[in-house]
Amino acid sequence: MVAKGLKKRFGGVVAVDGIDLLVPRGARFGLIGQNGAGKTTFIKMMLAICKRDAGDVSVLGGDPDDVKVRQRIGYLPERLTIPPSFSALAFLESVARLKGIAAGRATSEARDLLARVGLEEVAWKRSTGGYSKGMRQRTGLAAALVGTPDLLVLDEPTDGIDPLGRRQIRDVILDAAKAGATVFLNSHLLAETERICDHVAVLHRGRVVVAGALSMLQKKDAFHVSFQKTANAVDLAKKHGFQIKEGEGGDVVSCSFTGSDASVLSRALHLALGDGLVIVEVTAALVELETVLEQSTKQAPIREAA
Amino acid sequence: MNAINVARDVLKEAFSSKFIIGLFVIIALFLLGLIFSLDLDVVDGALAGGRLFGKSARGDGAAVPVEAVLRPAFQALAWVTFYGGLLFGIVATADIAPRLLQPGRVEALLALPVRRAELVVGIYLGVAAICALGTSVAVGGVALVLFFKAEMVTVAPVAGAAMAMVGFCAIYAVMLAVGTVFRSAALSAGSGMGIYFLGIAISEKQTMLMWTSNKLVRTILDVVTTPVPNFRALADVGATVAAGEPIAFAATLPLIGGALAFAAFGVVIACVVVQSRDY
Repeated sequence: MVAKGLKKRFGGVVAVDGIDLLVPRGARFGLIGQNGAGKTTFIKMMLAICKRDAGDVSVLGGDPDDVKVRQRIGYLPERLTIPPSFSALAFLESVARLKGIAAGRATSEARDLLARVGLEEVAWKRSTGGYSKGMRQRTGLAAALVGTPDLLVLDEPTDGIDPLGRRQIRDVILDAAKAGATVFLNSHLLAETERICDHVAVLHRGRVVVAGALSMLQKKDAFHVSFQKTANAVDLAKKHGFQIKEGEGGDVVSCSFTGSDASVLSRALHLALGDGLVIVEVTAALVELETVLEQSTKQAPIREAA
Repeated sequence: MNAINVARDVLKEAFSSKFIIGLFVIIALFLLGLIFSLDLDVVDGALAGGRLFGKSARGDGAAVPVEAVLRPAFQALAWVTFYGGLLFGIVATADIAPRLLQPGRVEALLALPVRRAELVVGIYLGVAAICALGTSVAVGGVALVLFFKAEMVTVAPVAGAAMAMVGFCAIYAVMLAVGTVFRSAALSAGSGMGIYFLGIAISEKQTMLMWTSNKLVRTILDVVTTPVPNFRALADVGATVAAGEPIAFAATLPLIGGALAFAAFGVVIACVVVQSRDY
């Protein structure tokens, strides 16, 4: 998905203010930002549900206005309304029909998807009017997966779902990604975004302020290193440039090592090993996504709506 | 093709609506009542006697052709179907388009391989199918009952009821256009009622134009009301057809053609609105 200079204004309010974004094929892409940042408007423009004032967008190599392109997209809106008189099975069959799937295959696929999203079989033929929010959300996710889409656009997919259900939904999304689908996720739950996505963009006041691979955005110029606790472990660690973390006890000496160059760290570890220190754990220090969001939106220039 | 799939969903959803279910229950009860209460004595195509709810419907005992007796009944049926059916149809279908276009539903539909025009046409076809089904079951049911009771085969009542369909198609096109703009069942129903009464009153257009002496207002009134179908004339044509009497094609065809053109214009407006709108 490629967006170039996308703009959208609703009256005097600028919702999207020139978004340039590239979502690589096969990526698990997360869009994060505060309320009113323009995330949902951007998604709607991406799917041609909302017209753009300026700019271009290309999805799966084509115009999202083209029904052939939309045939390959699965979308779960932020607040999906399912006809209350429809059962989950009937709703999915209807979506399958509209996607051009033959009736027999539509029913078997609908059953398979409802099972995958964890909707209990007894509820499949019940009218969705009596469904809980979580059940409706699961039905919506199953509907988005109809026809094995190449692009899965999910707007708050785990909203209203309990923690165990969230895990199940996450697995379904990751399975779709493993099968080759590009996942585009908009979620307020940053932990979910961290667990699902490998790429992230931060939207602030209608503009992309930060975008890239999650591992790069979260990377900090430091490593966490733990050594086995011995009588002289602290002194030896200090000698080789490790900073001791105060207040962390137990069987290990927890340290941090400043710098992003792994070869520098390797040399220090080699010398420490030579002095008899035993390494328990080495990890790259990562910034939480919440911090990425906070820092990127703080740094971004404030633009007043014209 | 997807317009048909949308229409199918509209039909499916409509049959869970209390209004539509109520309509078919009323039709079924009426037909059952007719089956059990009407008793006709037909001898060689002539009605020798008849009883309705056990009471004699013809007292003089003289045999008359069945057609002559049933003709006024068919006419009355055509008028009831036209005026009553249209009113009921307006109320029963007013919320269909706003419901399909409501936030959370329309986005999901538009993200599917459904063209916006297909969505509009699908809604329209679905509602027209509901109306056609209701009319066919009611009027066709009566014709079938009379076929068995009076040994009289006629499709005239069904053909007459087709005028109600034409009228409803014109009305629903306006309701659909209004529904796409405001996404409100109340405004959709209001616009339907407005066209319904205007279409009836239009037969007295000359009298209406006499209400004002202001030439500009008269011209505006004349221009604005010109495309509105004349429902009274359509109902009369329906009654004439239902009674099996000949109609003046030269006068009827422009009437029907005008109503259908009006309907098509309404649907086009609805398509333009949906096409240009952000959801």
